[in-house]
Amino acid sequence: MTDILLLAVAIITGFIVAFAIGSNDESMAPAVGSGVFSLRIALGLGAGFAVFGALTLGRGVSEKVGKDLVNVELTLAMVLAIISAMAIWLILVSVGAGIPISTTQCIVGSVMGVSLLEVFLNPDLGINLIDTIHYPTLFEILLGWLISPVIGFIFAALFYAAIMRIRGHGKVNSLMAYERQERIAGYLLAVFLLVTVISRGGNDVANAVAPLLRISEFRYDDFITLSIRIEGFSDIIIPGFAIPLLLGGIGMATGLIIVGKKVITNLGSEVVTLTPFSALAGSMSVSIVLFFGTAMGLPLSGSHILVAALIAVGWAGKSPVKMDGVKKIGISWIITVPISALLGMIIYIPMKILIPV
Amino acid sequence: MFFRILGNKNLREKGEDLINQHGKKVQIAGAKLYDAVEALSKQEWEKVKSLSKEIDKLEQDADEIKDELAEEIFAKGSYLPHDTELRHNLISRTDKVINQIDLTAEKMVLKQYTKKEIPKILTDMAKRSWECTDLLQDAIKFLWTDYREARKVVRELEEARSEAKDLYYSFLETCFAADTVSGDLLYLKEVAASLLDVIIFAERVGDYIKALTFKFA
Repeated sequence: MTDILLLAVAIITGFIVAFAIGSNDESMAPAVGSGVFSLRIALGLGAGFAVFGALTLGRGVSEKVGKDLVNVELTLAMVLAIISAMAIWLILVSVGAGIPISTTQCIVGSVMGVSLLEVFLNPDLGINLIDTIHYPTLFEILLGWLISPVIGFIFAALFYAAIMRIRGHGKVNSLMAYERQERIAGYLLAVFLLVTVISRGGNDVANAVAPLLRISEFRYDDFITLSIRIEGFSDIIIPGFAIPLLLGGIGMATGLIIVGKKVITNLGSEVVTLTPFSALAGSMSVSIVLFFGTAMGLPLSGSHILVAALIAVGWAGKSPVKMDGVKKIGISWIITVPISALLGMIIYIPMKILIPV
Repeated sequence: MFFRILGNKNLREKGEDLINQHGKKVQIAGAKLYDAVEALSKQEWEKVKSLSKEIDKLEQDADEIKDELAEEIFAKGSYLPHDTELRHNLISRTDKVINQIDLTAEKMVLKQYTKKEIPKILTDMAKRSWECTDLLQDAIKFLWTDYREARKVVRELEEARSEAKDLYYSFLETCFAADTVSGDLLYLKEVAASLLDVIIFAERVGDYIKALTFKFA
């Protein structure tokens, strides 16, 4: 494959993957569900801050794309198959059901599927099929998936109780006072969510543009000179790494605006009826649990924590939990790994032919 | 920027003002209905007709306020969704009270009452219905500023409804005791039933206000 063709494939794949990640971004669901933001404003802010996060934080994020999970060296063809499988499943779930799923689960499934197929097709690797997976890492990831909802549930219930205590639940003496508190909760929620969207933009963009960052022109230490000459001005010089990050950011923003609204609306209304207080408790638990979980090296899933947190605030606030919505989400989580694995295998075959090395 | 995201303060204040204005229209209509029943008892037929028209105009004004709230305040996302919903419910329930007042006034002019006197019970009921619309207006005002006062006013509303119900039953007893059923008797019974409905609708708004003071505490 020629360099230019490889570059085109990497750019298109990067954009599609970023689009898929954006389409399944549920971060703004609590704000829309509680009515703090209208859907249009949530999408606009989510898109803008995702691009900002990608550009400002994307450079520092070192995404492994499930590298430690398998005992196989991932080739470019494998990485492209993995992220393509992830993108397809994310878009299918977002468009079809509007359910938030874990990007990590998609990656884990497709990494295992692609790696197992590679070991099966390539006996020269000298790896036994059973030894393809690094089981301690798999166990660690599985543990993360199991504890994520539990931690999210506990923390959200605790935060909800704390918020209700701080605001003097049952002691508010007028609708005006109640609505004033609601607005304060709304502002805090907005701040929490925007910080979450920025950090998510920075984290997720690496998944999308990982293959692009392998291309020499886009390495961190290279600069690209744009040949737009304006009288009296020097050439515009931009760092090479900014191009894939910007591409990823725009891709995520586009996915969020075009498809993401379904996921946001569904999660914001299909699990529990949210108020600014319960939405704040849910969002706080996601941000804080993810922050400390990541610092402690725990592989937690933001989507799992958020869904569990919303169930928790519904339960703590005596608001009925819509079990049909919860069941749908649970089923999609269970089938994500095997389907991603299967998709990864299917896509890897043509990729291996097109990109032999 | 956040003001636009979380609602506009000026629009919210205007919304509160419109809801209070709507409550005021209900209260004035209630007072005019009492005047109309008083006029009926004094055989001032032209005054009854004129008051009925005034009540109709008040009902139309209240509808305009309701529409303005929907178009200029609610539709512009001035409040959070459930705050909009509670205001919409409140105004819709209050609007039923003024609709019932208007209906009662319209019924009163359907037939010219020919007897010289009407039973005092009827004017008492009309007075209760006026008091109820008065109390309702206070309850709405206190909902924004003082839950305890709002609940106190709602209790008074409940008591007024209870008294009105007793008055209605004793009027029914009088009707049932009559040897013959005349058009005048049917007329008075219909007016009395309509007056009781005004009070019942007002009490329902009071119940809703009371529920809100517990829900949003």
